[in-house]
Amino acid sequence: MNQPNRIDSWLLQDDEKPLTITEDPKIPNAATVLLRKQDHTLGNMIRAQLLLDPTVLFAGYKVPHPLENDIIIKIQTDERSNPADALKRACHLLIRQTVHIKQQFMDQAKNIEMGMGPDQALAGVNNGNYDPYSDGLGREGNTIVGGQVRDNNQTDVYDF
Amino acid sequence: MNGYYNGPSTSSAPAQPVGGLPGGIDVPLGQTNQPRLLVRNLNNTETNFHLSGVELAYANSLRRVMMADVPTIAIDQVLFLQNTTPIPDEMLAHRLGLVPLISKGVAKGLRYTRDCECDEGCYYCMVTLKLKVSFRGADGEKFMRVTSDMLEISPSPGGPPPPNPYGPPPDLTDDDRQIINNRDSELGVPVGKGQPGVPPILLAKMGQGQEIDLVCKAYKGIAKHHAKWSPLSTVAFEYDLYNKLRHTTHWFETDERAEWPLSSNAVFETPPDPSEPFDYNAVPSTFYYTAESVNSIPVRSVVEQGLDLLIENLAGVILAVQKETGVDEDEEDGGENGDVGVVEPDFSGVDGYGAPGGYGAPGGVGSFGANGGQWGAGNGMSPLRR
Repeated sequence: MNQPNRIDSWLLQDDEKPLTITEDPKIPNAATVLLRKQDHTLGNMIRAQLLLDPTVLFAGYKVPHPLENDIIIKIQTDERSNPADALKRACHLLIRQTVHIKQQFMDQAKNIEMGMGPDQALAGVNNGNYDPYSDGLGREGNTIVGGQVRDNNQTDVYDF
Repeated sequence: MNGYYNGPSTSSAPAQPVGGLPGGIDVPLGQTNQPRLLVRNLNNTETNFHLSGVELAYANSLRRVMMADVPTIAIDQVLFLQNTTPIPDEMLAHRLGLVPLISKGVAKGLRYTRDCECDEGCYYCMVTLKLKVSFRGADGEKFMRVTSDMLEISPSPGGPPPPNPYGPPPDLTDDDRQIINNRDSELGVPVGKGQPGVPPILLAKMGQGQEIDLVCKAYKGIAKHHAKWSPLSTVAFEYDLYNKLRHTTHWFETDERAEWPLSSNAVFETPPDPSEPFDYNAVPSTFYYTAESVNSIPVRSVVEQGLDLLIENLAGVILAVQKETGVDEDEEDGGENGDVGVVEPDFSGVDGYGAPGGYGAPGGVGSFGANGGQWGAGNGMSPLRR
């Protein structure tokens, strides 16, 4: 069979560099980053984070060919920064977010496994004011914390 | 909640200090970079959680990584010694491959065969299972069911010698010891075997006088190779249940709501106000996940490993950029012990993240995840054998 080896779609060869940065010959502060053996998982995430960066003027990614397991990210920044820094910054921030999410997941998972239910979660459900994060962002001015609900409510708050 | 975010970062959302970023540029906190998670349900098989405050792209990446990048073990090679049933060998081998095997701790407790010194599988990179059944035709039964419960684990070659309190300690490398210590005692057992109430998986039916005798080799792998290695059977992922953002079009004949029933998650969102104009600045921001495991790995561990893999990949990009641009030379050779990937000096000071170990080490994020660790770091690899 002439099917390419499937492992090659995510594992770098021994002599392969994970990434190359090619500066754009005409546009200042612009570069094309070639990420090898990566796909939409990383490309789209990085692209989205780059666009939140105030110094980034342009960010886009594509999979140039469906049979080649590389992605390219094009980045243009203003003079305050440069594409490599912007890329590093985006990855840093994504890592922070991921660490934050993992922390929250592990805390809540621990609570659930100990039978306590997710802390202060689902507090407002029974009142029709669902505000899972208790920060008032979900509904206007209706932040109800667990204790109150537990006191004046008949049903189990953590009945999920 | 989707896109209905009131004003700038308010109330109890912690104002995270954004410092120590490359280039000294601050990225303002917005509605898509302050993640908040709510686990609504979690058991061994299934979890249901809401993730908000992230980009759609990020949410999708998490879904993708949980489905396709978390390693498990599955039968990959089958040696047929005898098969006289009408089921062809290929078909039976395929069915065997799809049987979920208990893979707890496989991230650290088993090697990829391509990373192993052995030639074609050993104790450190493979689980061997045997299936030997025959049917003589007892009790007037016309046929016998061959199920996954009949798969028996047999020791793989090259395992550590049996413990001998009098002899010298066995000659093992640190890598080998780590594998032995992290290896789950049930590794490779078909899911549900020996548990009453879990129906076994039917592999074949066997008539009178027929016989199956085969040896299976189960290897570690990921679902990018073949879907049989996926730890999850389903990841449901949805957002913007009322289609307020108009990311899709609901084609309908007479009544849109009747023909497109709302998902059960819709109770967590405010219904749209028809009098309100379309908010073209709105972005999706709450994502509803339901991940359902095949029980090879507890679903909690799948989520954690997925997040770790994201961190690992992103850290890899940072390292590669540093190598490519040649700056921060002193930082990139921080250590090969897997404990220090990239450590920005002031990174660990960021409160709320509490990861002084740096993000090269997923285990440093919290200590009770049994399955943190490193997955097939691509260095020092022997030539691919499979």
